[in-house]
Amino acid sequence: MKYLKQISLLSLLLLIFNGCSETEIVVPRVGEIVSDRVVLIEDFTGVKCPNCPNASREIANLSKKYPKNIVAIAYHTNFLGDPITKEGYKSKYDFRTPDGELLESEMGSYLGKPAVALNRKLYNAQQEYLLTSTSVFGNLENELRSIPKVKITLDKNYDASSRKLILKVNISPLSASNGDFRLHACITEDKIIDSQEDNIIYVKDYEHNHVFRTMLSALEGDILGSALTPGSDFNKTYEFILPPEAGWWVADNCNVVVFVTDLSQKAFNVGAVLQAAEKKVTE
Amino acid sequence: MQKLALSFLALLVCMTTGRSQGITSGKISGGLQTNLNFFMKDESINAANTPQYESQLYGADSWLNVNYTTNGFEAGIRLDVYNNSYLFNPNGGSYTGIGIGNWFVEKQISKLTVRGGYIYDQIGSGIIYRAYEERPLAIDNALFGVRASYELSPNWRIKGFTGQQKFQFDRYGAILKGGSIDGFIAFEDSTKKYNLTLSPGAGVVARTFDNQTIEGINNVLKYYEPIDSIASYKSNTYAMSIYNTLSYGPFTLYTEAAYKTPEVMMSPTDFRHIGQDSSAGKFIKRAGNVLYGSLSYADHGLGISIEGKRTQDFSFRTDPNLLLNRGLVNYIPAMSKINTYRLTSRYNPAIQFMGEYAFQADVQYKFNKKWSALVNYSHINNLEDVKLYREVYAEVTFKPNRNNNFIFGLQRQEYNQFVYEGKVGAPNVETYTPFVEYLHRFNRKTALRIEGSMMSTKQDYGSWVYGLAELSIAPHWSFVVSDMYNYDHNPEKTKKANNYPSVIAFYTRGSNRFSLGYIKQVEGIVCTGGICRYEPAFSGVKATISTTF
Repeated sequence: MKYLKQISLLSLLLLIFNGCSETEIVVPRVGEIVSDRVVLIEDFTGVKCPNCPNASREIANLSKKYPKNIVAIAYHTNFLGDPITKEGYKSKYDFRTPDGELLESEMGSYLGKPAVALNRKLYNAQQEYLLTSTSVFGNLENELRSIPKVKITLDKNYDASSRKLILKVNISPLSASNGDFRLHACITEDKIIDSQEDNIIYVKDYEHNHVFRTMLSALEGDILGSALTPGSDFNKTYEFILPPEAGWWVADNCNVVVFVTDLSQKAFNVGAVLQAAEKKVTE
Repeated sequence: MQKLALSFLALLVCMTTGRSQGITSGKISGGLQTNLNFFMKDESINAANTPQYESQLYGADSWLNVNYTTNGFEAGIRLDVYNNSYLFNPNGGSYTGIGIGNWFVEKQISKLTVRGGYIYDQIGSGIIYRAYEERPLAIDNALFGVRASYELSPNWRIKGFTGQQKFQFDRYGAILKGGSIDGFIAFEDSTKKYNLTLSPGAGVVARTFDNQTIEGINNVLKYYEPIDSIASYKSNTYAMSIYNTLSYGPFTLYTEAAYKTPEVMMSPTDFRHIGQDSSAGKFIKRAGNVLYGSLSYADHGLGISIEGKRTQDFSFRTDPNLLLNRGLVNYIPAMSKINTYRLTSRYNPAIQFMGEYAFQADVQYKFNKKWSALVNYSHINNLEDVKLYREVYAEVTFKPNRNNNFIFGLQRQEYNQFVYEGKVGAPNVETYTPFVEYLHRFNRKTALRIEGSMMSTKQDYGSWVYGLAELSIAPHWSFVVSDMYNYDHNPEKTKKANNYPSVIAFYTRGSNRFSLGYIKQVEGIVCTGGICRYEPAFSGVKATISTTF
């Protein structure tokens, strides 16, 4: 009886915390999405990053789910990105590029890789760094349901003998808006076989996809103007000679990726992506 | 928030003015800690490719706090300054922010004490709740809210609190609320040599998700394959614990048992299906529990301490999407020796919140005035019985006279680098580290301390040798020269055997301490109490100022 008061108070405390029943939060499922929106997923990765293949697998899975709506670029950067030197798994290639590094510094920092940007946007007020793929991809559905402001049409010509690529880009505004609009074009390559740390093992014949190879436009984008007006299209032509094939730079595996950003909708030091498009170089 | 803090500052100034006019008497105290970094790029040790090394070249972290106390009233305010700081994100992050990092007011009204603002606190040993600040680890998870505690009797106190967890100059959305009751019972018997005392307690903490956090969790879970899917979860999670400290003469026994209701947590070791593939790292929904106990004995020059714990699924964060040291609500005691020598402290086991089985034994004995010894053993496995960490540490101290002091010993470690640092295929790091320290006092003012150690290992960076000489000229000056050399380097890890020299001068005057040094530091994991942070390589000049008033 000596400690009756204490026991009574503790019981009251427990009652306050556990006395009420609670309705559970039901996790929604992703529904079918029919959309003209094409989103850009930028994956900052590295061959020595054991968790990075997880993001690649998620991107592959989402690309299967929304084959017409996703364009991906994988930038291999310095952090966990220098070639593997382990005996038996030595890297054949160094996937890192100065442009990838520069873009990473413009995009802000990350707590760890894989660090992923979706349409170069931040999704909550406290996000001062790039998030992991699992945290970012949840916003994909909302992005896919948004209405694109521009339509991108790619017309390209590739001459296999000279390895010369001529890319004609047409940007057709779908709604009027003001901003600081930029056009970005680059080349990515799929199916590059090389070593990669993958969760708990080394994989010698890992298939690297969406690997960023080179910019066709300026990294910060070529200026389109400050206004989008339906009926006033933008046209731009890029020419590029693919370097000689040497295990990589396989023309059949290369893609042109084009996207439009609005620098006035700035997250980090880059503009939000309004629309993206992709085409095989030899298709 | 800034307006509120400025009003608060004005209140403090008024109180100080009032004090000088004799209206009220009070005491002002505080402190300043400033760390200045001047970055000098050195690609050979990987001190490069971050904004600090490439363009900013300078960074600073500083904290200035002022507290005022009078007649049962206490108030405090702290200015936090981060300039080009890599503290919050060592992977190339550069954070600049200046603002009020902490303020509080507290008033004791008879047996009731109320406190509002940013509150540091813990329940028991922190297993269900700990709000604390650890600056080198970039942890400051104070609760922004209100707390009331009431003295039920001279030996019993009850408290309750509610608020949100701090994040830099912002707050996480989830609500935290909790309470505890703590007491003291003495069984006094004048016929016996020792009296038995108990310090029992119990606590409970609840976390309620806000809508934005729920959306973030749903955004991840909705893409899970049916085989991994979590159909529903609760907005509220409850963690509760009971604990007791039993003292009987030279014996002290602490025990704590904690339980957490099922919640969504990130399990780094569970695999999630992605199409035909799978990836490590999955949200799971499970209840958690921790059992922890420590027994210590100290008498007649003999000190024995034995600790043990078992942890299962006890990650407790404001938001399960948060990583590393962000959003931690609780803390679980570490089960390894806190080492102080440069090489013996190179590998530290971080707390495994999702599953760990560990014990530690520590024996110290003072043979006579000249000789004493210490032996420590740490043993950590995961719940699948995989070896995570072993340490055997032995140290002997010989003090032949008041002017000379020798310490020598040996440490043996086995460290699961794959689990603790996520390094794929990395074998357990196995080290043997002999060390020696000699302190010689030339006279009452001047002393020289020499420290030497050698870590022999075939894993990670390979073997190291370390030497340090510290000359102290009391009461103001001390000079430290040290070097760490990767004499038998691992070519897979580093191209050449690097030197990491440091030269630092310290000047102390009263409660002010200044330091200036040229430092090269190898990358590594820095831990305090089992909570760890990746510390990148450093090359450059560091200056520090610390003062209390």
